[in-house]
Order: sequence, then structure tokens, then C-alpha cells
Amino acid sequence: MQLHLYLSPQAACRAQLKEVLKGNLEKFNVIQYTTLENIGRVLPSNGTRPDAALILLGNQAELLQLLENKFIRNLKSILIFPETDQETLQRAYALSPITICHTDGDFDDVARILEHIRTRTGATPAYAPV
Amino acid sequence: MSNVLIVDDDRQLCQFLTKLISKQGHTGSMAHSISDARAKSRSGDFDLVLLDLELPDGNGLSALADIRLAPSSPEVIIITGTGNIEGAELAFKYGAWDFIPKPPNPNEVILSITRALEYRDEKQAVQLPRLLAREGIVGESPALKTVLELVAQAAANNISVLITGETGTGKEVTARAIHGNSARTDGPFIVVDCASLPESLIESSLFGHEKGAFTGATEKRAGLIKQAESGTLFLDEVGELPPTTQKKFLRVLQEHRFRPVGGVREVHSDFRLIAATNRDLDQMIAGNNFRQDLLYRLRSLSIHLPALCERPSDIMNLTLHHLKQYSDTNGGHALKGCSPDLYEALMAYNWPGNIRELFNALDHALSAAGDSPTLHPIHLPPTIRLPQIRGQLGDYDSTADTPSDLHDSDGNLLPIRDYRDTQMAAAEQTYLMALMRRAGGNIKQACEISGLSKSRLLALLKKYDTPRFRESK
Repeated sequence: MQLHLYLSPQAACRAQLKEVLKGNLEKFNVIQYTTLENIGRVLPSNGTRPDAALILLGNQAELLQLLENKFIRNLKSILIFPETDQETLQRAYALSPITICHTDGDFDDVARILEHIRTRTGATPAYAPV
Repeated sequence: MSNVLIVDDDRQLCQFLTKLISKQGHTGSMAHSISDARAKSRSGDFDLVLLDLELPDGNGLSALADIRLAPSSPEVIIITGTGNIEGAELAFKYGAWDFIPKPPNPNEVILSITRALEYRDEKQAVQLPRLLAREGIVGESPALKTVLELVAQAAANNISVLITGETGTGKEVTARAIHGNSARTDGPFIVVDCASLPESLIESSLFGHEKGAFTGATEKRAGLIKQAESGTLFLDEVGELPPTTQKKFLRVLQEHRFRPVGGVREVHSDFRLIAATNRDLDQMIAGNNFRQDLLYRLRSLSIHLPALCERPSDIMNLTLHHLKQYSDTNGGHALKGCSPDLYEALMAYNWPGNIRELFNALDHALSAAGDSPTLHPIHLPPTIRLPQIRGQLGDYDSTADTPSDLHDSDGNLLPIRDYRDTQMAAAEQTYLMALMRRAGGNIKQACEISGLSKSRLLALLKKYDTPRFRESK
């Protein structure tokens, strides 16, 4: 299984998240995106489950941009973004994420979910920037 | 008074059942073969069909979908001998109302018929949506039409639904279609991926938590059950729910109230539940891995999604749908065409990963095709192309005899009986190879296609040492 990764340069907690997850990410076949529009464009792996995605967003504008991405719906995503209004939150849930976390958390949940996914699917490490 | 069609090649049994039905004030008609049953159900106005599985021109299951799709849309009760319980199980998955073992007990027959007809009267009194928004459910096969009928039923009320099917058959898409066609369509559709959430997180995800309830709970959070208020909660891979969570969730289904982790006060949520699984929950109950009382609550209505290999006629529609979506998603790029060879390759493959695997393969083909306006087999991943190539090369079992001559080793013309026997053996072998390739090694499907009973099929496979191509699940 591939892990599609986007860590917004506008997210203040980016370094903290990378620190918490460094042990997890190296165990995955990671496709790292540098722009929001490209998330999900890389061909999926041929497993029986959809690929996973970890997406860290820095602000409301990025979140609204992600909600327009048609490829994101093909992925099982962990979304991390700042607290937002209920209406926007509901739109984010419409992407069927595994979980939604906020940027003011400690991201231990994210680490546990990634480890759980890796254990279930037997993901193997590799890295490819996009 | 209702019209009942009895389909059985045992004429005495047909007459017995016709008399029984007449005594209940209904009209009985008879058919003694699949072809006769199809013709009569199409032209007649039947409310109920009693269908035998072992008929002279094949397995009754092969006619089940067509009978259900007849203009009068009759209910179907299966009549089966004790050796065919697997056939009855498969029949339920495709919409049969009940099964009656042979020899039939008159009281059981009357009860089953009465209940089926009462259900039919109730169903016809309910206003179902005239036009169903398919919401991504693509296909025109009889198997899929049965699914759409059940989706319409589910959308018309608020009962919980359990969707079963192999991975990649479209369980979430089906759940979304139920939600989208229901009175809750303006409410949220909340997905809980029970397989991706570790046990330590699933309760706080579902029920929410109070600030400080555990390490890392820096804020109060509403759980997914509360997020689904006025909408639909979709529990994907519900078989992965841990036992303690199953118990707590059962209480939520019973009372629609729950307590967030670390909370004191109970919270209420008005949601509609749809659950999905690719696992055999009845077997999990037997292994004490799933609660029976929870399954009863989940399964008020059950929808089984066929594997893609069980509805190959939908492959072309699905392919065209995906190509159109690709064109729309990529800034209106010109819609790519498909060569006839490509369709042949797609039809020859068995799709163990079902629709997801088909769409992944098409994505690979689209990427490989580049600017080419037409997709060809060469654009497909090699594993998808192999079955078509094997078929072209004639991949026969080399250990089997394949006699093809009229003469014996001395050059003498064979007696007709000997020639007939060898030709029959060759024909049976050829048929079995094609059958098992088509069915992908699935014995149930092979029985359905060929009309053979399971015992006869297994005996023939053993006789000719025929490979099965894929182990059934």
C-alpha cells in the first residue's frame, strides 16, 4: 500500500508532526506531494484496499481547496487541519476520512493509526517525491 | 386471490402443490423447465413462484434473477432437496424469500406461501421512489437490478441495512446511494472505517470524548455518532469492531443514547445506520468473535453485492463510466476509446479485486496510453492480459489424453462406441476447462453456469484432473 503524503509548508506544526511520525513514515512506500492539486494523481497500488493518505493543511483556504480535489475521494485519508466551523467540518467528513485531527493536537493518534494500517496491510518502505 | 407459478420437473409434486394452493383460494400454474419458467413468468401475472433448483435444463438459480425481473416482479420460494443447501444460501443472496426442503410439508408450504404473499401486499402498498438516483452504481445486469431494487427499499425507510460483498464490489457506493435517495439526504453521511482505526481509538472516535479524558485529549470532541445526527452513519468493515465496542454500540442502536469517553452526561443522536462487511458474520458469531444480538440489529435489511465476475456484462458499462469520469476530472480531456481487443482482455480476466481492481487497471492503461486516443491491451498491466493470452494459446492440461483421431494405433477405424466415448471425454474436458476458467475456480458459480450439481461437478473435475485457476474464498 502507498501512503500519499502532503505536509503544508504553511502549517506551523509541520516540524512537530514530522518528529512524531518519523518512525512511522519510513516504514511506508511514501508518495510525497508538494502541491495540493496533485494529491491523488499518482497511480494507486494494486492492493485490495485503497491507498492511504496523510494530509496536513495550514489554513482554511487550503482546506477548501482540498475539498475540490476529485482524486482525494479515492484515498483513505487522515486529515489534519486547524479548528473550523461545523459546516466546513461536515464537508470534510464527506471525504470519508479515517479520522480528522486538529493542528493543536499532539498527533499520537495519527502515529497509532499509521502503525495499525501498516500492520494490517504489510506496507513496505520506499520513497518518491512528486 | 393470487397467482402462483410452480416450477419443478416432478409433475406429481406440481399437481400436489397446485391442489394445496387452490385450497388456499389462489390459482396455481405449472412449468417443468427453466425455459418454460422464464417464458411463463414474462407473460404471466404471477405474484409468487415456487422454484426447484434441479431442473432438466439447468440449475434453477440461473433463472432466479430473470423471474424476479419479470413485469409482475414475483416473490420466489426455493424448493430444494437436502443436498443443495448451498444453492438455497446463494438464492437468498439474490432475493429469494424462503426455501422449502423436499419432500415438502403441507403446513410449512401454506405458511411460507401465506407470509410471502402478505409481504408482497405490504410492499405494494408502500410508495417507493419512482426514480432512483444511482449515485455511481453502474450496470444493467440482472444481479445489479436486484441490488437496485433493495437500495430503493432501503431508501424508502429508516431501518438499518447490512451490505455484504467481496472487497472492491462497491459497498460504500451502495451505502451512499441509499443515503442519497432517502429522506436523510440533506443530512451528513459519516463513514467509520472500523478496519483502519486501532482498538485504542475506536471508542473515542465513535462516542467522542471530554477534555482530559485520556492522555492527548486536549479538547472536548464530538464523536462520529454525534456527527451523524439527522444523517447516516456508515460502519465500514463492521466485523472489525472489538468485542467491547460491539457491546456499547448495541446499546446505542437500542436507545440512541451514549456517553462520550470520560463523560458524565448521556448524549442523544438521531442517525440511520448502514453497515458493511466482506466477512462472514454468521461464522464469526460461531467463533465468538461477533455478537449475534448486534447482527440482528444490523441486518434488518440485507443487501449482497455480487462479485464482478458474477456480472461480467457490466464490465463494459463500468469501463465506459470510468473513462468518462477520467475525462471529466482531467479538464475535459477527449474521451478515450477502447479497442475490441481491450474489451476481450477485460472480459477474460477474473477480477478478484472486483470494481476497484478494474478501475485501477484502467487508470494504469490511461497513464500508459498517453496521448493515444484508443486504449489497447498493451496498455493494461501484464497480469490483466495473461488470461486472454492463455486462452489464445489453448492452455490445456498436458497430462490429459486428447484423442482426436478416428483410428486406433494400428490404423483401424474405431468402433463407433469407442469413438463416441473418446469424443465425449474430450468434449467434457474442453467444457470443464472453459467453465472453471470462466468461474475463476469458484465451484458455486461453476454449478450455476453449467447447471451441474456440486457433487457431479466435483466428480468430473476429479475424473479429468481439471485445474481450478483460482481458489474460491
